[in-house]
Amino acid sequence: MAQKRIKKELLDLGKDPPTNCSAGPVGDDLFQWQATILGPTDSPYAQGVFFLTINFPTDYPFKPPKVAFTTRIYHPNINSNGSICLDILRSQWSPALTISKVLLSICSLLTDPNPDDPLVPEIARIYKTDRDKYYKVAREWTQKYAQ
Amino acid sequence: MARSVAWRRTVSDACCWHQTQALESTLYILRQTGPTGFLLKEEGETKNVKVFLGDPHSCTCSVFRKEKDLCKHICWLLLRKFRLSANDPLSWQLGLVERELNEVLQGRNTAARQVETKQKPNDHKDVQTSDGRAIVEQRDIAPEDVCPICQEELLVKKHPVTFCKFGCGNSIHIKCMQVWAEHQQKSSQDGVIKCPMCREDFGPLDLLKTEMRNAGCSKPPAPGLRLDRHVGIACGHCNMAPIEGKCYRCSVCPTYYMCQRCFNLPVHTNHAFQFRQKCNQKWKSALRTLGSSLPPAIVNDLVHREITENDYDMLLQLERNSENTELSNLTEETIQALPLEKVREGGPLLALGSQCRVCLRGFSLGQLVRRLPCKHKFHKDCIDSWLLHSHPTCPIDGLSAAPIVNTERLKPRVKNLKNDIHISENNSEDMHGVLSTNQTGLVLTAFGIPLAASRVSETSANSRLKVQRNNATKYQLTPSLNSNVQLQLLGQQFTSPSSLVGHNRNSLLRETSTSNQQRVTAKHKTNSEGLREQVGYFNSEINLNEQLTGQHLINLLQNHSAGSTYRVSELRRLSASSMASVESDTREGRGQLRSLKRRPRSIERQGPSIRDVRRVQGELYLGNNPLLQPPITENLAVRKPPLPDKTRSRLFKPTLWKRLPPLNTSLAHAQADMKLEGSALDNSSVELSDIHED
Repeated sequence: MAQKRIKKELLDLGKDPPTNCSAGPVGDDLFQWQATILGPTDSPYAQGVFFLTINFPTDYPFKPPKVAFTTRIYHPNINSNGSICLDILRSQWSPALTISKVLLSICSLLTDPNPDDPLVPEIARIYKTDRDKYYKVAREWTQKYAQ
Repeated sequence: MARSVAWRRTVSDACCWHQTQALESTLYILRQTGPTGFLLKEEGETKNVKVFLGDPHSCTCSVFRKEKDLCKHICWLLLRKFRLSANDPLSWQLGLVERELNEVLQGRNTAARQVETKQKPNDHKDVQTSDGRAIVEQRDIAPEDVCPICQEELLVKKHPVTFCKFGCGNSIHIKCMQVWAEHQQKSSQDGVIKCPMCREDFGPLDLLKTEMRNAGCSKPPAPGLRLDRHVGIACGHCNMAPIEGKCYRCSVCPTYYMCQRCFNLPVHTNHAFQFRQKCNQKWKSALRTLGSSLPPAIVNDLVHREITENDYDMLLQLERNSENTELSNLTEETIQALPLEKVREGGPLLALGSQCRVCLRGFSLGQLVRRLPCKHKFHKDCIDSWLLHSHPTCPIDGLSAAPIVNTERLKPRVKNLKNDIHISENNSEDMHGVLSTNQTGLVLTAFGIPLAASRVSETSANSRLKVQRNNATKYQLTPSLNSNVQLQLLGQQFTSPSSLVGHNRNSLLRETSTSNQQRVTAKHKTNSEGLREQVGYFNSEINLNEQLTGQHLINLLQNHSAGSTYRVSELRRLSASSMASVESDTREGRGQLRSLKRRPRSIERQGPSIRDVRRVQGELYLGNNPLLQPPITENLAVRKPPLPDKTRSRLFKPTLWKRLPPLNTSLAHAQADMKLEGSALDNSSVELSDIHED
């Protein structure tokens, strides 16, 4: 089931690729993917290219894939390990979600951080109190790590 | 409770305008900040707006702040999210008090259902589950809709589906949903099964299991489960599902399968294939010869020799093979003849989960349902267009949808038989070629029998097998004979006597000693008339293959009766050449058979074999029929060619018999003696001389 579904998703990604995202398997292992996200233009991450790893569990799609950033990013919901705090990747996972949809969700998370449920409280605090500082640092990090 | 804003009797112009705008625009709810607070984003806009419903409503958009009337965001929430009707006074009030708000919040489901019932009034909406919740309508399935779990297109594979009954109404494969439901029950604490699309409660697992039973996915798809039917695998080229017979799998592409027919077509040529006949077998690698369903040996043969006019049929077959022949050959009358039913109240068709497997929707009261011979039922419109325009088979199990009796039987059989004969005339190397290709996963359908029409060509397939079996028997008797020539001789046997006239025994002998392919073809040319008659003979429903020759009869007698008076052992010692002459004897004179008939007592002693002989006699034209012409009253001395019975008179013209060449009596005697030595026949010489005199 898992393999079939992953193949199907790969096929669909090729047919109808999502905007600003790309994904595909690394090497021969279908369960190990790499993805890239182009920073959304209306965010401080614009013009950055962010790499992610995707690990499919063997019981995918009934368990969520493990998605993490490999590029460092300054974001209240993404920590220094690249872990992403996104409900659809944990409790709110549904088999109806696909990698394409997950990547789009991550894109929108970059545009609209969720400071009420932060993974890095410090960044969340700055985001809430000093939006300009947040923009500045995020842009700096993007230039430093993602270009 | 006092309102902060006055109740409006009528809708204001601005509000009406915004309502229309709201119904036309696409907005997303980004977050629900409270029971009545929403963060909205309009498609194409960069700014989000916060909307609060209450007394009064509020919105952060500029329009609301400027006009102080309902903006399109508030209108959208009321009309779209809470499904208020535009005629409802609540939809144009500047604010709603607590009671009205509650009404809006709680009443949203009922309002939604009312809208749906209005759209589909004839559907059975009163179905309720044990906990009293009403079931929403299943959403229409578009061709591009996929199962949210396996992401396969629903209408391609046609696996049974269930749908979210208390939320979105989207369809999901029952099997996929069952895995997800079991997974959720294990992993979540409360054990609630949620719809993968809308996260609404999907209902208990038991309900799902009931549906599964009703949809028929727990039991095998057809009553007679066959191992050579690869259920769940569809041919990647013609979409035949399930694949029957040999199933070919691409060794590179993960989910690409092909049926035998498409495997022979030049599709998906760049990858190697594996095949298996039965689903419990291992995959073996398959050789592929492109462009034809003729076995490679025969194609080779065609390539390496001159093509004669007799190859026309085979070339036609080559061409036919590459044509797309998957289209249905069912006529409208055949389909109309299939039984129709009306969905009645309380019937099993209305049970939850039972569905038409073409459109994947349930049945509703009063709909017309067609039943195929395999007992599967579908909406009349769905199955009719399927049968007429795409496949002549049941979409579920691939069984033929047509009743067994088919008026168009005769035509394809003639065609197929011609092909059969062509094939059988190829030399023995070719026969080996056929066998070996069979072993490596290639065709035997090459004999011009389309897979889809296998029912039609059943008889011809049988006769083909019999020709081969017969060939084998003969081969036992005369190991030195080339099987090719044997068949040729058998063919001769059937030809009208006119063609026999042209061949004296010597020429036959020469031909037995040569296995030259071209000779055989050349000979075949002279016999093409006779061949046609052969075909006609086959078609007259007489199965002659079993009773080809008198020699075969001897063989039969030898097998059956231990106490037989015949000694056929000598036959084995005969050389190939004398064998041929014996055959020509039996053909022309049929002495032994006649003598058999004249000795009823000895026949009776033979026990079981008598029935076989009678059967053979009854079906094979031997020049006399003991039932029509009792041997006692027969005048042996002035014996004349008997009157053939009605059915055969067309094939054997009595006048032709008179032109039979005289036999060399002495040689015939010698051979008859050799053959029938000790058979206690009274006077075989008498009858042979009869023929001579005749």
